[in-house]
Amino acid sequence: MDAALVRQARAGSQTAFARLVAIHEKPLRGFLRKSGWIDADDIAQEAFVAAWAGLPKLREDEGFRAWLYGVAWKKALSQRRGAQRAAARDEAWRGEQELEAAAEVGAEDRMALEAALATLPEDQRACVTLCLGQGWSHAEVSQALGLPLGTVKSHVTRGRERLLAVMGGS
Amino acid sequence: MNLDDQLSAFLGETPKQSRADVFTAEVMKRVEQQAFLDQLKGLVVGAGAIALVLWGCAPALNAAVSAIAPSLAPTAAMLAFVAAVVMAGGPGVWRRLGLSVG
Repeated sequence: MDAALVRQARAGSQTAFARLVAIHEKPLRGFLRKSGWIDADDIAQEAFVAAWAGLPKLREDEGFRAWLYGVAWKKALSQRRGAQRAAARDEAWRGEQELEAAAEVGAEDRMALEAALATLPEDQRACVTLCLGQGWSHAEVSQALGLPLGTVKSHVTRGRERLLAVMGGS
Repeated sequence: MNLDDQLSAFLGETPKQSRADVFTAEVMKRVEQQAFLDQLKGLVVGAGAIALVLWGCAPALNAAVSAIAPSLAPTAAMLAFVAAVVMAGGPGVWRRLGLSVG
């Protein structure tokens, strides 16, 4: 589905690109939030704008999702290295930034998971979020984050172990 | 539901409020602005190239224009009118550039 829209967007269709944005914005923002980026919306927005400008550089139309997340990941990393954003966010905005809590996870486990997730290195956090949370393949994560496949596998295994260890009161 | 499923559900959480429409509109506004600026850059480059060619052909053009100048007066008046219309449409152009007007 992405491929057809990417082809149209590459040909200059802003409507097609708007559909791509609508399809990917929520999971991308969720991924960035889970990966610990407070200004996830800003990063996601900048990533989409950069993606529009960089569409001609995309080699495979089918690889749009991984490429987009890669752009967002690089934006996030460069933003961290740069100066802190000055924009102050009001409470309403913060409310919108909250994530939809999964009913399957109890309050105690949630707190423990959030604390444990925050202790993971950022690469590892991104790997577990994409592989375990969004069902990506190791190869796709490797491509998106620019990490070796073996590193991604090891990040997912170790991250999963650390997160499971804090669940269920164990 | 086992622990793995719970972990996946936790990690797969997405933003609470779907701001899809607002978010997409914000992105597309910036995309449109960028596309417009790119187009503008292309036009500037094109205009520069045409100007260069005309400048190169200036001697021949001067001779030709001085020969037909009297008959060009109505055309020149029409072009001046079109330029005035374009300038009157300026605020729309400024808005697309993301610059505030008045």
